Amino acid sequence: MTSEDFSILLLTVEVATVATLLILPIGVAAGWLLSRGGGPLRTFAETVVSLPLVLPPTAVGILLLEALRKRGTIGGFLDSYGIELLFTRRAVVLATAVMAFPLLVRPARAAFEEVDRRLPAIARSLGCGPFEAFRRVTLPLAGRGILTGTLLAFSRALGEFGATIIVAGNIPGRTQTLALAIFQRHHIGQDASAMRLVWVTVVLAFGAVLASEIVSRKRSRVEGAVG
Amino acid sequence: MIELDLSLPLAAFPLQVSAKLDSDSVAVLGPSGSGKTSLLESIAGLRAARGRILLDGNRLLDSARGVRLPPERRRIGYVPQDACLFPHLDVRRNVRFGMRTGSREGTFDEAVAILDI
Repeated sequence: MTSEDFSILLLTVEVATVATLLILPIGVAAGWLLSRGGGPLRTFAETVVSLPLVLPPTAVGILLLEALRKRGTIGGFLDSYGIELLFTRRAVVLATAVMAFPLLVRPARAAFEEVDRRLPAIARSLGCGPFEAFRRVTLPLAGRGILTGTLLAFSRALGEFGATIIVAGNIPGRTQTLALAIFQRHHIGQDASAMRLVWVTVVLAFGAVLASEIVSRKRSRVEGAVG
Repeated sequence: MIELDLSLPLAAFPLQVSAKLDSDSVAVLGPSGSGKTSLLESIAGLRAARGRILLDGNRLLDSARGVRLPPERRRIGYVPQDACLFPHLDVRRNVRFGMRTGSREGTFDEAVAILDI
């Protein structure tokens, strides 16, 4: 691996980590809310949350680009505070965060749904306030599902391409992640060095998905033992 | 003494209970689905019932006056009919769960002695 490859790897891991940490509290809150509600509003919210899973990433990128333009809704607001996102590392974080979000929310929602509703209620009768009952009972019981979702989201963030290239470009040393570098090297005929990065991504992705599988299996075993 | 005058809409029918309970022990009898658990959960504050619940003169619920104590302030122990332990905690931590934070270590043995378990 060259020092350039290493920098790209570092940037990719940094972006994926920041994006995952960014969506973690929001994703857990969204998963919990979706597990509680019912009716058409919940179905609608679930559909909206899941959209990045099924939309072409480039389409999500274009939507983000429109919103983040200086004349766009969010972009105009940020611009008034002197914050510029497009074609920066923050844009890479945002794009990967949006694309990874549903992969965190869906397992988190399922994990919250599996928690016996009586348990936090009993915690309340034992003196816990609503937040304490959530922290001491609901959250630890849903913990493995949330961890599985977090690892899946991180894996997705490592390989994000379509939305990222639209809102952050493919700027070496600034916004170029592994996925973007592979594309660029292949595009200009540097197949050997592209293949080197492919193997790096394979190892990274394998590690992240394997970790999520191990966590998920442990969860089923614990549930089996309890049931 | 528990004074009840409450109503709670259930899926099959609206549960309505008016009673003054002044015995040390009270048994609530009824067929499955008649609202026994819902009644207990309402007293414990785990169900959103309307009406009035007084425990030894303390107002736990009084919808007319806008009083609705949360479960943690009612000081009512509630034991479900089936074993319902916190599965993520060991026996010691289950027994200690209701003790306030910062209580000294010996309280586990005290709790075991009090509960005679």
